[in-house]
Amino acid sequence: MESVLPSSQFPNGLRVLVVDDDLTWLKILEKMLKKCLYKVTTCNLAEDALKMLRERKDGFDIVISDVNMPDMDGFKLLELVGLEMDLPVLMMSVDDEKSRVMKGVKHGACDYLLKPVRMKELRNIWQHVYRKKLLETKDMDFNEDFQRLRKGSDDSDEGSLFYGGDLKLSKKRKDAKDEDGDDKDTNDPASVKKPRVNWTVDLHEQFVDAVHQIGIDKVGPKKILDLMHVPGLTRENVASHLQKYRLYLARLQRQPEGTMPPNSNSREPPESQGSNSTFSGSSDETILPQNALSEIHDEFTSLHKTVTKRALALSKLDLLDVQKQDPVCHEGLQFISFGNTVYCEDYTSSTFPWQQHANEELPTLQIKQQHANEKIPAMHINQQSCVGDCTNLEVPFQQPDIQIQLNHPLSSGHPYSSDFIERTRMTNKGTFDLLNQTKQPITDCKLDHVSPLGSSADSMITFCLERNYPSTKTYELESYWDFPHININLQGGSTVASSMASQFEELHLRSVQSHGHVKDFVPNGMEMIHLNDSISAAEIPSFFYEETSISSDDLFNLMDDSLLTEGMSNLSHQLISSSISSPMLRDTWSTPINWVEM
Amino acid sequence: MLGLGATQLEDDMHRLLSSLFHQGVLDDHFSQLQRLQDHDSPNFVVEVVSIYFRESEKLLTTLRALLLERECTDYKKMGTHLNRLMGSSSSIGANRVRNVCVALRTFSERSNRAGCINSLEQLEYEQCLLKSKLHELFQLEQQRLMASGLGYGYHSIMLD
Repeated sequence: MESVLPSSQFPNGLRVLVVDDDLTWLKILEKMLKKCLYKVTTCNLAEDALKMLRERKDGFDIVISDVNMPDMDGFKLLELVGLEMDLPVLMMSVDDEKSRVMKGVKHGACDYLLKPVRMKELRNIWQHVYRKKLLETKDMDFNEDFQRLRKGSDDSDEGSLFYGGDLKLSKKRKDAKDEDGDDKDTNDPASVKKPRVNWTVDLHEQFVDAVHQIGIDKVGPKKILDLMHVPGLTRENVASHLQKYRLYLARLQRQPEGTMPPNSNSREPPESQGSNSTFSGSSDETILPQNALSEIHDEFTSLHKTVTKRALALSKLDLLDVQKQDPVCHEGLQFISFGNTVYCEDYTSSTFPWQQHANEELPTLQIKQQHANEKIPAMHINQQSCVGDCTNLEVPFQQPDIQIQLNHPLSSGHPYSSDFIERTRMTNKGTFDLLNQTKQPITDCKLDHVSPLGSSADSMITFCLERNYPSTKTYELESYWDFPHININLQGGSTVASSMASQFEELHLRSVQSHGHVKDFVPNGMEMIHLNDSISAAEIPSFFYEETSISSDDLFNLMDDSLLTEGMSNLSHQLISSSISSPMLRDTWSTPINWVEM
Repeated sequence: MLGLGATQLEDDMHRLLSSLFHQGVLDDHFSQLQRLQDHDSPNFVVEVVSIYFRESEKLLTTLRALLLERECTDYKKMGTHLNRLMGSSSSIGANRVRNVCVALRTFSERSNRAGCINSLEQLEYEQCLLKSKLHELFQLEQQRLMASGLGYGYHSIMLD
């Protein structure tokens, strides 16, 4: 039985199994859950519950169990359910003693409810299901392979995590060419249940063999899949693995002597939440070097790197000439182009500037190509006479206007967007503000115009400068709405030869949260979740969050001309989704997520 | 007479419920219970309360047995059963019952036999009181329904 919940109805019909030896509670909980429009099954014995769960695999979405039960310890049940069925489990108890709660969490409980349980606590339990599905589909093959193949590398902390681009990748690929009929994953993570593929050493060997046979330059996921003859392996799995492999090879080409102690036997529990490798978008289709397989694996694993913002820095930035029409931006440090969109990056929070190398034409990264047309929130300064470094933007004083072009993908169909658009139109004042260094809105710089943020490509925010602005000042653009405001450095004058680092410091992005968001603007949780469904990781610029602790290191050095878009955006996706769990943050992410093209 | 009798009964019920809430015999969870009753389950409250009394009687019997019928009381076992009773009583908002459970649990944890016996008696008393009051309430409701000749159901006289 498939655990497919039609996204439009979710969380209605959520299949809940309630286990409690207290018959009174069982009846009450059943009624409460039914009122939440969930599908309830009750059980007053843990053993029975397990039997039911085992018999009906995929028959339930979430389990609620009491801690104190006569036939089996609630914690044990919790563990078993987590291990065997991998369902979210909520614990209930009369007792909220800290040690008990901790025990529950340790055993993997998604939440610990205190009896007497209130209705409102039950209303929100769907979030646990959703979160789990989200994480699941994201770290599909990714985690497993790399966790498996890696060997106790000490860089294995979360810092390096770029979430599996599989979700996005396969989605994009599907969008591009939907050849396969095995597309179970729709744009709704709630209905996706991708099988996890363990890329064991053997499997990888088969994979590599297949690649060899076909020839690296002629290889394609379908061909590999056919050659591999692995039952249950989908084209999707192979495609994503191929992607990773390509990146790894590219990396290998650049650093042929980069070796790590071979470890083809490492097997680690597939529980990790995060280690994923980074992508390097090299354009070379490299010929497969004749390395030992173990070395390849090692290299693969060495893709786990941490990324520090410093290294990322501009020294690596190599913007495309894509922005020919905007000579201003393409050399800017903060403004990095990706496709036709330029990003304004947040560096203080160590986000990763995306960069695109002129030579990059990696067919597997067709995502990138697509992105060229996609609306990704970004901003770049569009000034006719501005040349050179964006950071050292020359404000032409003869022109009283500062135009900020906002590539804002608020599609008009989006329930959220119309509101935003309306407010933007109605109240230009305060919608966007230029702030001076003391974070005060500049009064003699009027927001002249905000072109509609609609489904059309870009919106332009034009500030009318009533006087000449000192060129050495730093300004910020702040949006009043649920919109991560972006700071612009309007440094004018001659090129400021400040160090990369300092330029980064000047540019920072305050989270919407610190800004405080307009409460009534936030779509209700349900809506937001739906929007999340179609998030494609790469579409979310990494500057949307601040707490990343990615530190870039050699990674960037190693991946010179690489496009780390996917990596970064995947990370952002991960962080966003993980932050979704925090009810407070959830609201703040709603906007960026909404920006994804629907 | 129809209508008038119903109104009178309704008032009686209101008064009874108010006093129960006021005395702490019942708490907010009872209201929540009432709110759960709807067209799909028009006798929800009565059903739940019935289950509660059935189960809790068993528990009380066990507790009494554990405490009094042996020389050496198994306090741990008592604790387990008490937890159950606590949970159950909280489900219907039986506030005072629950509080006595807590007291009993404390005594039991300290192996204070006298205290336990005392508390157990109090527990039994509270339980009895609750039962009779709720019984009265349900009876009023029945009569009210009959008097009004309409099937409005229990929830129409809920105190919120």
